[in-house]
Parts: sequence; structure tokens; C-alpha cells
Amino acid sequence: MKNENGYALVSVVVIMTVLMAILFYLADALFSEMAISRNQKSATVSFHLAEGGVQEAIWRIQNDATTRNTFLNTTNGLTNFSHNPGPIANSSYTVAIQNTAKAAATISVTGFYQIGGKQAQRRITLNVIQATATGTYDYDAGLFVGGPNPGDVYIHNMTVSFGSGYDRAGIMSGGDIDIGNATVSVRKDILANGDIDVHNATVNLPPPVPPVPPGFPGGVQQENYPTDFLLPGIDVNGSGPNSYKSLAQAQGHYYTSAQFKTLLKSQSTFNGIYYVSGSGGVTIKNKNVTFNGALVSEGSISFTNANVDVNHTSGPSGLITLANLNITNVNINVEGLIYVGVQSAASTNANITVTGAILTHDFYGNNANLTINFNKEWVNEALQGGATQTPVIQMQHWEEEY
Amino acid sequence: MSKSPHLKVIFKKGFTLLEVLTAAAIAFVLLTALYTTFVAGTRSYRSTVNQAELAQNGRIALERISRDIRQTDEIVTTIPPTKDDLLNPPPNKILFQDGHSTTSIRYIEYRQDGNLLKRRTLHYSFSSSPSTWVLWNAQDQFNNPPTEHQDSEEIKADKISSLKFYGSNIVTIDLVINGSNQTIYLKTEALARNI
Amino acid sequence: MKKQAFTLIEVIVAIGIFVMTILGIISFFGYSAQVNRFSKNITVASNLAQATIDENISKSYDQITVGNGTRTRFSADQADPYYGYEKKVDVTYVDQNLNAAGTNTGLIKIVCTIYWFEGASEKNVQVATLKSDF
Repeated sequence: MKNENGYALVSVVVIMTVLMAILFYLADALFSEMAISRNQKSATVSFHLAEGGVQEAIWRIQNDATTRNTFLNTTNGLTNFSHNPGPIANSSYTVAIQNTAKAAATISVTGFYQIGGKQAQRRITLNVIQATATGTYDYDAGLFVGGPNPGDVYIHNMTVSFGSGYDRAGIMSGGDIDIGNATVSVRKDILANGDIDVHNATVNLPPPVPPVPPGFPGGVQQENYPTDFLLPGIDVNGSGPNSYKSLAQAQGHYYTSAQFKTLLKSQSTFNGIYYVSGSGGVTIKNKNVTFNGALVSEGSISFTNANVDVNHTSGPSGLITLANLNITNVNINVEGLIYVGVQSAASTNANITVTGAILTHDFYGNNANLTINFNKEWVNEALQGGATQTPVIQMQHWEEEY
Repeated sequence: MSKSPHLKVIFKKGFTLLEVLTAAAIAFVLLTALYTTFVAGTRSYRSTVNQAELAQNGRIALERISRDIRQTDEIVTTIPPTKDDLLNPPPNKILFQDGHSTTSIRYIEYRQDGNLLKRRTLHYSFSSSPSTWVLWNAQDQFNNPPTEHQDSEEIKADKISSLKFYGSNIVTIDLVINGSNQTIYLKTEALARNI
Repeated sequence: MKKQAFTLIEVIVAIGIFVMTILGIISFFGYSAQVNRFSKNITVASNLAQATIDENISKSYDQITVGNGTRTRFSADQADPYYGYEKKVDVTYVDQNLNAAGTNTGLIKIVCTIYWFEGASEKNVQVATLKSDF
């Protein structure tokens, strides 16, 4: 009997060992999988916490006196705050608002989410600027790139001309001006706070009109211009009655991006001030549209393969966006103000005529014909005195760092 | 006539038939039970590991794609607003601008190739000026489009049996991962924050 | 004799322990399928939570409905892979301490919760963010 048990015992022990091995590997795989799954969930949660922190930073810039003052008036001020616990259990985040110039800052937020003994974190940065110049638009520039944190004027493969029979104007940039393979004819000055680089291009400055004074002294091209060019503020979505949002609401023309998209299917002519909210913006493709008034969008405006007419009938007119303006393969005629918060891009076979001015944070033009008929009065009408209410914050370059 | 010595000899030297049969039966039952458990164990292990691998492929695929889409400045591919339109079915690839690259214009494309998820980076330029990277829809003075150049291509995940992109404002990424008779369905939405 | 052989009771006890161990191991294998499914479900749910939050922040501030949301199923179709998941979006006005404020402060807290059942017990994944009126 002893021998019998010996055989059984040995084989049992051997197979049990094998089983235990399988069990351990299985348990290991299972617990790893569980941990990975939980970690990924924590990472997602901490990412959205970080985004929340960015939003709170923007809110504080607009609503907290100390934060606002530091943001608007210092060139390298720093505001820090954090929440522990954050908006939900086991969450927290820390925020830093670092000024890079007056009314321009980089917001950095790290969001944390605790699960068991481990903490997941995600970090996001966002550059924000606020155009705060009030008063009237005084620059004699039909194409204007202004700060804070301005971009550049990039003109390639283009013909740029300023219409005669209108007020004299030129091009002004808070950054650089890069003109290549183009013909640019202005009717006043070409000024840049940065450098002016002209290669393989013709730049025509207007000659003086004697007698000088009081006649026109002639146009100049000057880089490293000493006074910073600042983009004027505009009341897009303030709560006052004169913001574009309020004006559009009063006319019954306040839409979400999705609603406006639906409207575009049945309508091509728009009379009055149209406001499109949300980040979706306005996309018009393969269609001809006419705006007798203004199109104001919180998100980007994109025109592709279209004929676009914006007419000045009565009251402010133009295209206003807080994000980007993209024009591709388009014939576009705008009477009024083109105001672009972050960037404007004109490329690919676009014929652009503006009676008014283009005020933007950055201008990228490639392969287009641009005719500017400068009309300062219409620009100021559309700016409506500028940032009379709390002007809107504009966001550039959101970055998920890790 | 002492019985003890005989019995002792019997116990030491041999076994009764009954004992052998009993022992064999017990051994048989034990070993069968063990073997069944063993088979069940390995099957369970393989199934768990397979499921975990599918899930991991899915997680990586979705995370990489949504991170890149969140960062982009422009989505080049036109995607249909819903996934059900038979006349306009959702594509299994998406091309968009690399939002992390602020100095040069780069593009990223995710596509399903067989059951692999491939990510490639591209740039566009004109032959007259190959070092200048331009927008995908730029045109030269003769209205010609630029040429596309691939800079890199990597496999990011496998066992992908279906990949769909659709949505109007925000991109929905719909993923089906399949392997060894197990299927996982994953879906998420990514809003491009730089557009 | 007692030193050299096993009694029947000892054999039965040994077999009994052995059988219980085997049963324990087998039940662990069965349990492993559940755990695996649970971890996969967490992944599905956190991706759905992310989708829901991104959908909400793509709207402009005043288009987001403030208040407690209702639980909605992702699909009414039982064959749909996301049928088992429900979402709920709760939005509250908050102040600078992230405490609930009664009036529109210009800052809202958005909490998206995804619910599903793991057998008989209910699980959830919760993702939160803030949005500012700017």
C-alpha cells in the first residue's frame, strides 16, 4: 500500500505543481491586465481634470481681480493655484499662469487622479492672449497683424494690391513680413516690428504726391518698427447689448455649429448678423453664399470651392472668428472687417477682395490674389469701439505635453 | 502453525487483487480529475492572455489616435457625419496635420491595413523647392498640387478587424479587435482642440 | 503497522483535501474570465466617458444644460455592443473653491458617469472637467 500511495502522491504532486504554475501565470496576467485597464482609466480622468484646470485659469483671468491684473499688466507675472481635492473624489490639479508678454500668458496645468496607491498625471499647456486695445482703429493698414504674441505676414505666390479711390493704406505686422515670389503694391507703408524679407518679389511703394507738405510724402518700408502693433479688442460674446452675440440673438440669428450647418443646406443668403457658437465653427464647401451683414463664429470659418460675398448694407459687416479663417479655392468679396483671432490662411487659388481691412493675429497667404480697398470707417463700425465689455480671450496652441 | 509469519510475508511481498484494483481506480480518478483541471487551466490561461492582448491593442490604438487628433490643426480627410449612411460610408483611414509640429508642416495618417493599424508621417512639397514643406492643398503657379512624401511608417497595433472614422464636429473612432474567436468593441470621440 | 501504512481515514481525508483544492483552482479559472471581462469593460467605459465629455465641451458655454442629467442608454438595440452601458451628465455652477454655487458664476463643472452591470453589481467610471464662459 505504501508503494501505491507513493505513485499517486508523486504524480499528484507533480501535476499540482504544474497547475500552480499555470495559476500563478494566469493570476499575473489577470492582475496586470486589471492594472493596465485601471491605469488607462486614471490617465483619461487626469487628462480631463487638467483641461478643467485650464478652463478655471481662463475664468480667473476674466473674473478674479488679482489674476486679471497680473495677466493684463505684467510682462512676466506668475499666478499659481491648485485644488486638492478637485472636482471629484481622488482628484486634484495644479495650475500656473505665466505671462509671456502683457495680456499674453501660457497656462500650464497638471491633473492628478489617485487610484489605490498610484497616481496618474497628465499635463496640458495653452497659450492665451487678449486683445484689449480700446478706442478706434487708427492704423492705416489694410492688412494688419497685431499682438500680443503676434504671428507674421507670409505672402507667397501672390498678387497683393490696394485699390485706388479708397483711403491710403499699407501692410503692418507685429511680427515679421515674408514676401516671396509675389507682387505687392501698397498705397502707404509696409511696417514690421520684426524683419522684412523680400525675395524674388516686387514691392511697389507709392511715390510722394507733391507738394510735400501737405501732400503725401510717399510710402516707406521699415522693419524693426519701434511701436508695437496691437490687435484691437472686439466684443464678440460679452453679455452687454452691443456684443455680436447679443445683436445676433436679438435678430434671432444665434446658432450652434450643427444648427448652422443644417441651415446652410436650405439657405444661401443671410441678412443681418449671424452668430455661430461652439468650437465646430462654420464650414462652407462647394456652395455660393451671400452675407448681407456679418458672420461671427467662435470656432473656425472655412471656405472651400465657394463664392462668398459679404456685403455692407447697414450696420457692421464682415467675417469675425475667434479661431482660424481658411480660404481654399474661393472667390471671396468682403465689405467690412475680416477679424481673425488666431490665424488666417489664404491659399490655393483664392481671389480675395476686401473693402475694409483684414485684422488678424497671423496671415499666411499662398497662391492668391488679394485686393484691399481700405475703408477705416467700416472697420471701426465693425469693431464698435473695441473692447468695451470684457473682451474675449483667444486661445493659441493647445498642447498635451504628456 | 504460527499464522503471523506467513501473513507478514504476504504483506511485505505482494498485494491482493482488490488492493491493486482499488489503488488503480483511485489513481485513475485522481489523474483524470487533474488532467481535466489542467486542460481547463491552460484553456483559461490562453483565453485570458488572448483577451488581454486584444484589449491592449485596442487601448493603444484608441489612445494614440485620439491623442494625435486632439492636437491637430487641420483634418484633411472628409469624414461622413454618421456611420450609417450607405452612400457615404466612414473611411478606415484619416489624414490630418501634426499639431505638435510648430516649425514645419507635417501630416499624420492612421489607416487600417489588413488587420494592422499603421501610422505614417508625410509632408508635401513642390519639386522646385523640395525643402519647403507646404500645405496639402497648396498650388504652385501652374495650379499643380504638391507631391506627397512619406517620412515614416510604423505598425501601432494588430488584430484590428474594423476601424471607422465619422462625425461632424468631433471625430468618432470606432474600433473592432478580433482574434482567436474573441471580439472586443471599443469606441471613443476626440475633439481637435487646435482647429 | 501504523508506521508503515495509511489508514483508510487518512486516505479519504487526503483525497478530500485534494478535491477541494482542485475545485478551488477550477473556480479560480472560472473567476478569471469574469475579472478579465471586468477589466475590458472598464476600458470600454472609460473610452465612452471620454467620448461623452468631449461631446459636451465641444458645445459653447451657454448651450450646456445645467443640472442633473438623466441616465441614458447608449443604444436601444440589444445587439449593439454598447447596449449595456448608460451615461449620465451632471453640470453644476461652481465658484473658485469648486463648491456648488446657486447662480451662473461663469464656471461649470461637468461630470460624466458611465454605468454598467458586472453580473448583478453595478459599476461606474466617472470623468470630470470644468468649462468657463469666456
